[in-house]
Amino acid sequence: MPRVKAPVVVSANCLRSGAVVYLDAANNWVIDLQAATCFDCVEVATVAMQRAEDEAVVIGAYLVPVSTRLGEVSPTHYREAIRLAGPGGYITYPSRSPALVSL
Amino acid sequence: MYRYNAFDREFVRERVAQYRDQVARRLAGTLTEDEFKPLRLMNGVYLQLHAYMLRVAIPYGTLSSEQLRGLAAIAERWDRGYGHFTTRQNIQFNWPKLVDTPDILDALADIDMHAIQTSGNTIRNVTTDQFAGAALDEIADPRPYAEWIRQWSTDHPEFQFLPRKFKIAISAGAEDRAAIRAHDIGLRMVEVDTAPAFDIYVGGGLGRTPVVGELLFQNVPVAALLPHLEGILSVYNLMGRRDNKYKARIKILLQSMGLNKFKQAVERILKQINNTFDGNELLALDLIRAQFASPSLPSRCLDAYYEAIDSDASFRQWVEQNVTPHRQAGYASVTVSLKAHGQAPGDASAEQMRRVADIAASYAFDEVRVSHQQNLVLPHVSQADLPEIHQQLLAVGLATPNVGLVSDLIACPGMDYCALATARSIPIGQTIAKRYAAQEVELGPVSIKISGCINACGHHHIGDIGILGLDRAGVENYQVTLGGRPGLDAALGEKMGPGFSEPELMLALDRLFITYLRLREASSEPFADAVKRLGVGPFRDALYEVARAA
Repeated sequence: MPRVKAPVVVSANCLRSGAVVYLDAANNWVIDLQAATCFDCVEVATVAMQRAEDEAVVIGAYLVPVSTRLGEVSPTHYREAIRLAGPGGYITYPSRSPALVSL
Repeated sequence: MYRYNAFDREFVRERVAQYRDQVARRLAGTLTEDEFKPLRLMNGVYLQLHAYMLRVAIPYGTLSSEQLRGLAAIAERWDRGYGHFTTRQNIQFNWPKLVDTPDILDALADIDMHAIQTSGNTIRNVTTDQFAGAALDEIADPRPYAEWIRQWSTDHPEFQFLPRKFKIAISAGAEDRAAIRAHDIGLRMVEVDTAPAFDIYVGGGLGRTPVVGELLFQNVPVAALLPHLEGILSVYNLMGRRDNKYKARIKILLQSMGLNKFKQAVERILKQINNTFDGNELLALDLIRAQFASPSLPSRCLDAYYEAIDSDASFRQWVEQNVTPHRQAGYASVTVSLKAHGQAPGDASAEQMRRVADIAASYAFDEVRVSHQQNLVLPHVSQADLPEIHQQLLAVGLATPNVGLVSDLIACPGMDYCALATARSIPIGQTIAKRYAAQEVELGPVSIKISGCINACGHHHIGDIGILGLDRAGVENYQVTLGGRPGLDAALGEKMGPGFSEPELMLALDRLFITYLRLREASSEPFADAVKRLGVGPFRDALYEVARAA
């Protein structure tokens, strides 16, 4: 497992619903990534995660590397982007080769 | 089809009650997640990327209309209005809440269904030919035997904690439509002196170490089938590795022991356990067989059918592509495509499920099958009713005439849902389906199978074209294999070379298909045959043509 690099947020799944949630500054679990606390230090984030992880509320907490460019928090890995956005919303592909179009 | 008796109903209700209590204790904090996880998994409840997922068993892919309506009701009440039919002939709901899962299991019990042994290191749903009981080429209906094995394996006290999950498939046709050699145990029905018997293949499987199963026992009589299965499972249970889950499948044990030693070990067990099978199991089989009696199939006037064939081109195309000959003249099996171009392969909305259930009730003796290719099948349909069935399927987007063509592809849920996935499968499948929709009749039969990780739920190793999605330094990357096939002459696809980014993959497939069209001997030579005749060389060259030119 590669070492996680800051900045990071803390994420988990809600025990009751399974929904993706993030830890905010008040130690609440919220679904809005923009409301999540962004940690510049992995060690500090790890301590916060351990304090906040209540098995009665969430499961599987872990650190998610994010980018904070232009003031917007966004995951740096596509897995977390998909986890945030849900299924769908797909990419555009190059157009078909003429030889196939003309069949 | 098999109908639950009082024992079955009580058993399932008791399991639901146990599970309801387990969920309550988890929510109350008296069970930790570590304690609870194996319990929920035993009831088919996984935690995926965005939500919980409930996998429901559809034994050997057979459903009644009532059951399909029940699944539609669950999709609407507790999920997001759809379900996903899987390559193990099951259905998965992708959005249930944990707190609702006991109620969902109760709703399943209402329609004689459950989620037991759809997860965990147990014997999973036994799969079979989607045309069982209707196929022209079968020697017997394999479903009574699949049900027999289901009853033997359900809650089997010895086999609830195997080294790893265990998959069994059974096929009775001259053509293997159940991919039996890709299973831990594959059973092929044969005839010996007019009596049914079984060839037993062992050690097949896909995943990170793909292996084609080998023939272990030949011509095993019906009376000896369960002892042989128990013997094989016992050796595996005793000697399979438990220290490394990636080395724990029976195929790894078979490789390390060798076929002969493994067989000797099974034969030693057989001597010990033979007395435990006293013949009662054969009485049970007789009772099961009686429930799989073929429906009465009366002769009907087919004038309307032939008139529609002559006058309606879209109906004619649908019949050519999606309708399979039946063992009885005047009847057919209909494959209901769940692969409308651009849709997620294997997904069906609640409305679509209800429409298929209604059609099955009106025209198909109340029976629906799920195929491992992620379509639905109406196994017994009079040709006289095909025009009306076609119209009804058209109305809900289920009449795409593409069975066996490019867009009839298999795709696992991939990273859109699955916590194990390393890349997405569904959008790749959707894009391929749309990209080649206009050319797919010209391209002819070709199987494309897409997996979003090395676990190979999309069966990519045995596709004419296999696509495996991986994570390469934080970017989705797709490897291509060619020349794989299921069936009795099963072969694993050969990896072609470095993987492609998503856009590159589409251009590489363009070149692959253009090369096929150029090199095939005639339009009747399918893609797989052309690859077999020419070898993968020219097709590999086509895939990497641009990369090399650069």
